[in-house]
Amino acid sequence: MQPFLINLEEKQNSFIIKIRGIKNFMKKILLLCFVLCTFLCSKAYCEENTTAIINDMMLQQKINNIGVKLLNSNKIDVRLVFVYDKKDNKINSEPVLRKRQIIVYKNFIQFAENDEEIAAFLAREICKGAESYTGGKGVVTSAQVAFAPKKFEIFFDKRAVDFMVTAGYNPLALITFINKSYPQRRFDKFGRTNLTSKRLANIYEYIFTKYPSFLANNTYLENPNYQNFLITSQENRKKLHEKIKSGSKEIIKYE
Amino acid sequence: MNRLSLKILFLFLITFFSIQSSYSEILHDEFIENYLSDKDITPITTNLDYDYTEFDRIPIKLQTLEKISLKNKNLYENKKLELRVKQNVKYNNKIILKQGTIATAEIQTYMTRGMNGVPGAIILDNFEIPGLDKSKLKSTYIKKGLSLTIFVLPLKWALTPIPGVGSLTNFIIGGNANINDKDTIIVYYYPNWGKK
Repeated sequence: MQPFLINLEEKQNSFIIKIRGIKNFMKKILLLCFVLCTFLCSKAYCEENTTAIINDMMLQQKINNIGVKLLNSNKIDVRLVFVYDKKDNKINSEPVLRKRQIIVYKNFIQFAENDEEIAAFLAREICKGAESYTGGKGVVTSAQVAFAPKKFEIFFDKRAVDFMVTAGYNPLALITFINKSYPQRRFDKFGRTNLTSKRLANIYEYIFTKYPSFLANNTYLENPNYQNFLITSQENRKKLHEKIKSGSKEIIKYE
Repeated sequence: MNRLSLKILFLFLITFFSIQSSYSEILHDEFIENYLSDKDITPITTNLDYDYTEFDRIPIKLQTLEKISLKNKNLYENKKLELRVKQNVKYNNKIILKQGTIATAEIQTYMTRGMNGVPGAIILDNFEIPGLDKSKLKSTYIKKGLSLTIFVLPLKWALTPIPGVGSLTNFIIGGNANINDKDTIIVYYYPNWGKK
């Protein structure tokens, strides 16, 4: 009996040792898997992060190039800087008027389909920034823009058209950009901003008056946003047609 | 085989007509297009090749021949104006522009006066001076009316504690912009600005 028991004990011990060996081996495999997963995840994260950083850098560079082109072409001799911000935010005049820093928020830049539409957004903000330098140190003018934005809105739109044209951009991009990115309010009588349809009609009239070649050779005609503008601006365009027919120089009251 | 070729032809015709119909859906502003078709359209001038290394500049003093006012109903964007050179303009001891020479400019745009003391503004641009290269001019001229914002804002803040009274200052209107024939319009000529 005894040798049999000893044999059994030995077998048990060797079995336990084998099990421990397998356990250790499994632990090592698991550890290896864990390390491998961590490494791969961190690598993927880093790659993703690096791609995001590179994309941001490229977008910032693009915004800078377009912004500086607008400034130089229009001989604007005041300092303005352009900053891309990944935050979603409303257009805020405060950084432009106080710091002369044009902030391009992600939720606005995502509407831009091409460089011309980025230029459209920047040209408007440049007008605001340049205005903040006028009249001494620009404190009073900045206060006016901040307190009466409605008054300046169409004025800036028109100047933005001029800036875009001088810098070689098609001003119809301002129409497409505003058409898709600015909501339409019900009334503007007591509001701080104009109806978007009114702004678009004024821009259209301004382009017709000053730069008709863009309408004569319209490269935006097949753009769905431009088509949408055409279909939504029929009443306002009718008013413009009447003005052209009559040869009147009076200001049209667009809706 | 015949059935297959018929199917292909059928598909081709459907594609062709769908493309045709999608093209016909494109809207046009026909009135504007027809109006512009027989007009002599001035080409667009851009400023893309510049070199601003040199900073020597010569001021050119101009005056309008008529009063330009926002009250005037004959004021409109793109209106051509005539201006007179007020003094002889010299460069390197040579007269490059004689007094009395007639130059032209355009009313780029204007802004009517508004609430909160915001003044009206007139912007003149696109100056053309005989004998001088237009691309070497830095010439946007802005004339604003009397700004009352500097009084309106402190008054508004002072009256704000009395309910509803502070808002009344909104109705203070700024001054109209006028350019009189006595006003001096200064534009700068940079003789050494060149293209890259």
